[in-house]
Amino acid sequence: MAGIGEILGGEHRRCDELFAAAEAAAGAGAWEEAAARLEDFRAALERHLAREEERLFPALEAAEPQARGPTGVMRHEHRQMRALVAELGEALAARDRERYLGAAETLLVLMQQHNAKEEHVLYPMSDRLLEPETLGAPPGEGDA
Amino acid sequence: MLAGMAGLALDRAPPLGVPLRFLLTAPFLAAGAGLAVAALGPAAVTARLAGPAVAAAHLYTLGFVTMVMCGALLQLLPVVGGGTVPAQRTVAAVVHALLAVSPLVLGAGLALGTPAATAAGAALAAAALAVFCAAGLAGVRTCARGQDTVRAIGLALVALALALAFGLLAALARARWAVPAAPWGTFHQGWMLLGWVGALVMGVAWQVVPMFQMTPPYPPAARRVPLAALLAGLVGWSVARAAGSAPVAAAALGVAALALAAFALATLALQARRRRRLRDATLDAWRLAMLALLAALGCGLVAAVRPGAGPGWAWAAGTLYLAGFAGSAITGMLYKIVPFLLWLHMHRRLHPRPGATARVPHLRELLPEARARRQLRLHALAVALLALAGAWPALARPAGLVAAVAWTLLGVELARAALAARRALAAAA
Repeated sequence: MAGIGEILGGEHRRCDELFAAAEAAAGAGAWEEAAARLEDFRAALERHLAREEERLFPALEAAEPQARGPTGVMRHEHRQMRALVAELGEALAARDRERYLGAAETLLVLMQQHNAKEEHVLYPMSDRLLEPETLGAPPGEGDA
Repeated sequence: MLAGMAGLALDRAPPLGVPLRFLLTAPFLAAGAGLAVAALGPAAVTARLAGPAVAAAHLYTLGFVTMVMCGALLQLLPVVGGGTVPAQRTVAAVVHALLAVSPLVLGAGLALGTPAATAAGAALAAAALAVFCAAGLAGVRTCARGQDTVRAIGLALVALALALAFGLLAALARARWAVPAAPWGTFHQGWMLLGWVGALVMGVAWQVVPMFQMTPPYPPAARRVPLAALLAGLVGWSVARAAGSAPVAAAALGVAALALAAFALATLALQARRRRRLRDATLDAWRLAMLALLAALGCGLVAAVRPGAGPGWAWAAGTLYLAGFAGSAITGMLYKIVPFLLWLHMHRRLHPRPGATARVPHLRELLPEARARRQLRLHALAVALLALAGAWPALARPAGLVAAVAWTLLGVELARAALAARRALAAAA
């Protein structure tokens, strides 16, 4: 079975692809397409964040109390990401290209530095301390 | 910190002022270097190793390149390795002040031929770099193990320490102190340019190129082989030069150059396969950086194999490397890092608790893409003119002026972003 870092890192890549597809469509003014891609991205991101918040972080905090600081930072950044995804939805509804691309740029940088911290620090630590079963069954399988 | 808990400083990212002071000051010192080249005119090219030209080079390498890299490293270590530089506020204050002042003092000493000022400037720069190397390496030791980027940062810091030592010996030799005879200035340049700048840009690229442009990751071999070859080439070159074996030294330098060329080609190939189709100023800046690096290596090769080719080729290699490669990569990074740090800071201030509703302006409201692109076009023109001045030294004056305007504009755009953030905070208060 794949390790925790491999599984969750793969989810990061998948979210990246969906994010880029939505951004490209919005940049080209293809709003119907952008709306569909943004919804795919939002759903995949939400599944991933929920898996971390409900499964990974509690298990990690139980196994290593010192992980509470880092997981607190990660939860905070998840909230920031959700707010930016909501802003993407607003910009899309208003067909506001500049606002969409601005919020997307902000989300991109936030998301990427967040993923780097998880992939370099939290996931390797999780792989040392926890079993992949901690993550439970792959969420949303079949609807991605 | 317990050894097993290395790399958990994710919640200790430095406050805004720690990196920002470096990133906002640096472009103006680069502009000073551009003005110095404009003032020197053709002599900047034809008398590249005379005091005034060396002064301009230090204004740029210390005041801009090293200044930005120190500030960025303070911010980057928590992200790439979960580590943190000890006493970062104090280190930042001391290193920033010394790095801002030392190139001016050193430059004045070199340009006016005043040994006392040269010695004072060298001592101030040495103090800045010694403090930063020690703090930076201590920070690297707090990082999670096994990250190639962290390894490259560690190697770059060791190269910086060596370059500093060689630079001091070169300065003492220039001041006619009795130091053992050796090409200290050449060693200083090699370790500073290829080691500190080369290894650091490489290691940072492995992180940021896949991150911001959504390219595939650099394959492990494309990271480790060029880094190892760069190091081996530099060590081999230094030892062979010291032993007086010119052919071995040339071959070893060739290995280091090939390592950098492989890095540039790998980066361009990855960029061509990026999943984020949208072009932005950072993507274009990094492409320009890689093309300039390849051009610099080409000019360097001509300068090395045809010693009679004149000083123009070495000048072109140096400016393409420093302004074209390092300068463009840094510019691309600044356009991402500075607005993001401001956004994080505003978020911390406006959203101290979950549920706060004040709107935080996004990155492109702080620094509009069109303004970044305008500056980048001017920068590209400056790089081209600087390189061409190798062939036509009369171009040195306009090239220096355009570079000065481009760097000033970079500093102005970053400062405007910081002011926009301050206004947004004031309006929300």
